[in-house]
Amino acid sequence: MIGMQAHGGARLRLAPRKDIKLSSIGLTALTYVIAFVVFFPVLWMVLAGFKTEGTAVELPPKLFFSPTLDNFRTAIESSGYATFFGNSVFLSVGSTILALLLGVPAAFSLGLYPTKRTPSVFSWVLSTKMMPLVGIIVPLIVIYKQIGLYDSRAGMILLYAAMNLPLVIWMMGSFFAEVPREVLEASQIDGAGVLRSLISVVLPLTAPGLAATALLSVIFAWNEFFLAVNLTGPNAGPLTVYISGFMTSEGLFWAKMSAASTLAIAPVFIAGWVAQRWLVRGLTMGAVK
Amino acid sequence: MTATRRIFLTASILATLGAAAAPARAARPLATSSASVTLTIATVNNPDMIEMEKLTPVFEKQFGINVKYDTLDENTLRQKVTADVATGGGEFDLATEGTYEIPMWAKNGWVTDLQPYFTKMSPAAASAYNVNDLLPKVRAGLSYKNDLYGIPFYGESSMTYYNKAMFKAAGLTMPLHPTWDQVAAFAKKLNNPSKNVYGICLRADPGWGEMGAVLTTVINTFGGSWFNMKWQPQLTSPADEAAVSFYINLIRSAGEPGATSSGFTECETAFAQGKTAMWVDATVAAGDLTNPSVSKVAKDVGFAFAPTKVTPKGSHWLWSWALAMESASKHKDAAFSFLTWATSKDYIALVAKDKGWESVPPGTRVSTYSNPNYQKAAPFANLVLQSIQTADPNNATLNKVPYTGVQFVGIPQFQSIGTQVTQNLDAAVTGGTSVSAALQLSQTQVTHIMTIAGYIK
Amino acid sequence: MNPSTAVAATAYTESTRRPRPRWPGFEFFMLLPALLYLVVMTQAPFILTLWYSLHTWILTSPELGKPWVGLENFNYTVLQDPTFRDAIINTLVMTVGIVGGSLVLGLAFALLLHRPFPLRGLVRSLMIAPFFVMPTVSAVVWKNLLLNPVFGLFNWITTSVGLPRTDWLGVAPKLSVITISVWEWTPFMMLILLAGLQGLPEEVREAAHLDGASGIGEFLHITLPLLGRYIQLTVLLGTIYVLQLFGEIYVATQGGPGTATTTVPFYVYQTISQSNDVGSSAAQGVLAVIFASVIAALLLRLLAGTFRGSSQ
Repeated sequence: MIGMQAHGGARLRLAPRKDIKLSSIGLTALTYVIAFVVFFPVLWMVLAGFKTEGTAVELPPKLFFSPTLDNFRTAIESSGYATFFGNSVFLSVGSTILALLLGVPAAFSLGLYPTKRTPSVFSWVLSTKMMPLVGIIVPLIVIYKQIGLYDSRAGMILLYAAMNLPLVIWMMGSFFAEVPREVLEASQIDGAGVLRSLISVVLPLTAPGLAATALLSVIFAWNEFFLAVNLTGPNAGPLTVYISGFMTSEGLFWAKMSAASTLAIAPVFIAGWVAQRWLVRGLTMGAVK
Repeated sequence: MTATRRIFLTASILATLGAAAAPARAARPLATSSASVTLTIATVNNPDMIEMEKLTPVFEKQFGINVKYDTLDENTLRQKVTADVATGGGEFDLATEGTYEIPMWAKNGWVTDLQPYFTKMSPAAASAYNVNDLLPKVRAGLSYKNDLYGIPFYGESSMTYYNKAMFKAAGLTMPLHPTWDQVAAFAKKLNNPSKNVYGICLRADPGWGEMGAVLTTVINTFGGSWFNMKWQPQLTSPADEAAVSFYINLIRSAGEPGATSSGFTECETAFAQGKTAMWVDATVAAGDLTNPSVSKVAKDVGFAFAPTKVTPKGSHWLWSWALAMESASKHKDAAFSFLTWATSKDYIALVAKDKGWESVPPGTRVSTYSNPNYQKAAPFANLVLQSIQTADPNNATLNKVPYTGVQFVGIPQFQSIGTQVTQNLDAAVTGGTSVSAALQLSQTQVTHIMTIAGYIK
Repeated sequence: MNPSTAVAATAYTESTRRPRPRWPGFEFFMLLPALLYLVVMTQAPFILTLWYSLHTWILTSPELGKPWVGLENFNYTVLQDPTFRDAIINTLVMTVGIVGGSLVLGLAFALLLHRPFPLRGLVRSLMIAPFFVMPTVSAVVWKNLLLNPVFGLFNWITTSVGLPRTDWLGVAPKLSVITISVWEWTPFMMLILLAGLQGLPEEVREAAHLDGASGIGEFLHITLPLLGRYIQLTVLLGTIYVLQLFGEIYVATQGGPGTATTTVPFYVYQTISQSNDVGSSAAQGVLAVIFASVIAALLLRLLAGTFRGSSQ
């Protein structure tokens, strides 16, 4: 029950205003510190990308060093970078779209119209993620080679969508199930309105959830390495394979790998930023129910 | 949005996905009799191979053959190519593999015998290439029944690196042929943990090709071996136990902290940052260590032979990364062209022009070592050459053994044996168990593996 | 029904005069494509894995062929293989540590980020950042640039203030791997819980703002139970994902020292890549599925009991 009281939810504050302000500032400061600590390893990696191999692990670390773009140049100019990058984008976006197309209707059905079978369906869907990829890789290689999907973008999109589909179903299922009965019923007076109610009412209500789900799906696909390295060759390999190519066992690679990895997380950062706007947008939309 | 529009949108998304799939496949042109052949090469991501990838456009222009690479780290490469050849192959025309795999894969018929291709070469091409210029021991390590199955791309042995400045400051001199006892004494004197400087760095990360490689050379030179002539494991023999105890105790008393995470790269980093006085490992590190943009001690690097104890046999290893042709390749002639291009004298000269003589692929050709430019650029060249020439995979132990290989045992089971044993020993390195307990456990496990595999009757 | 939705409902009714029939079983048809897709994509490889688990196939020993061995692989793995037993225990310990740690931190961070403050968007991005980095790269950065006792940053900091030099990955391998993984997975928890917090009704949302001591009480009694469904979701999903943790262990410790951080996925990897044993690794994989199912079932029961109000 949403409880849209006309007075908008007045709350009684028992504590005096001055205390609120101080503890509020304290919390904000704490948040900034925590954010820095959490982000620090990423920052350290990004900085390493601008150093030479010799200075990347130098101690004491030079706070002021002359940055070099050599590693970034190496990372981009290496033949095939554009291919790897393009593949990553195709695979992440393509598989997420496919997973959403399949998973959102399924989650709608399971979350809002549950039956006695619903818990078992949820359980079975989750069980498809219980096999360690390492245990199933040889069968996958054999099958993919047989049907000609080895080293193909289509093959990887299909696999990644299957990998993320349980996530979509579970997450959107939970968010959909939070939609109050009345809103749902009010939005569909007759049968053909099911799809319309899904798209024009339910989805906007669960926009934060959808944004989080899509972002997570994109990230999981973007960072997936094991399937990618074993089932792709020179043609369909994504950035994860490319970056692992720097981790050699007979040479120093800290700076080069850091630069390549920095380039790889930049798009995801942007995707995250976009998803964030949706998270905020969902907030305002939800308030105007 | 109406239903029709929604369907249209869905269809166009799917169509886009389909179109996305198409180009990736079509990018690989079909093999025709004309020169639009594309070779797919699986390669390890070592610096020399990265250079090869960089120079490939020269090959492509000269021969009109396209080349695509799958660049992987060593473990992934081995696993992926093994899975490929063992399931029928065909994804790669060429792969970089080593002196461990190639003889075994030749036996399984997974890689192509190159001898017929050499015989087919025109006299001019054959003499320009000069297959007899290849270092004999390296060549032997890549042959099966006297036929060459892989062409060495680069070869290496192991040697001792030491920090001349630290030695001078302590009034010590490193002999050209040190013994392990001398090295241990040096390490103890130069060990200075309070200043974060350590006597020696030795690999102790688990893996048959990691700690296993260096440790095996120590076992060899102490007079031990992995197996006796009846294939019974010798891990609890006096020589083996002495060698392993020595190795682990040296690490614990004067070696780097974090040993169980220290492989080649970590020790190279430590040495390059001036944090360790000595390092016994692959000869290929010499180039990096003398490069000022990588190494903080570039001017102070000294070289010596790998230490010995009871016998010099097997005290330094022999390894070569070679290019081999998969039996299932559909472009064997094109592949052979690449094979001979990447291992030719011209290629070596090409690298010299691009990166300098000190960075040419080492350990493959006699002519490289007699080249005065190389001698000048690489002061360690002779040491490396002598090390490679005296590392004999067929004679690496004090007593006779039924296997080949200096720092490994040339049987398929050694991958898992070496990894399991080094994992057990790591528990001793961190002090969790004793060395003899770890060796006992290893002995039992290895005996079990060898019995199941049919070696022990 | 309250005024605003009543208005919406009336407007909708008036705009669709002609009654259209409800599609019979539309719920089933919305569900079908997803289920069919999953069945095709996951069951085919699984059945092949099952098939392999009943045979012996050593990749590097083709002369042995692929003989049928029945349940031999399972028998060995369950009854005789000590490393598999270690792997199960390690997996349990580390999964509990990682899921627990990242849940607690994720919840705390979600609450912190839920209140309005300047630069909130930037801070949110920074705190999600660990999840953006490829797991193997994270592990390399942690292992070599941060945790390494010789040239790693953390030891430089701790020794500068007089603490002893510590080989984290050597003396505290599980803790190190758990720390790295909690750092990586906290954003996952945080993201879902944050989305859940923002989907809550207006009043409850304001009650969740930690603006003072009074806020904590409201939080514990009102918000937390309503977040129950999302906590359940994050714990369940997180557990299933973390059970498969592989890249971090592969890079940071290679399962060691000894078998201290050998988990089930890592052991399966060793079986296939070092022993080249397809049959055993397939059997281990099947056993891993059974193991994960048991854990998931237990979790569901545990969580359903705790959050009885919000589970449907």
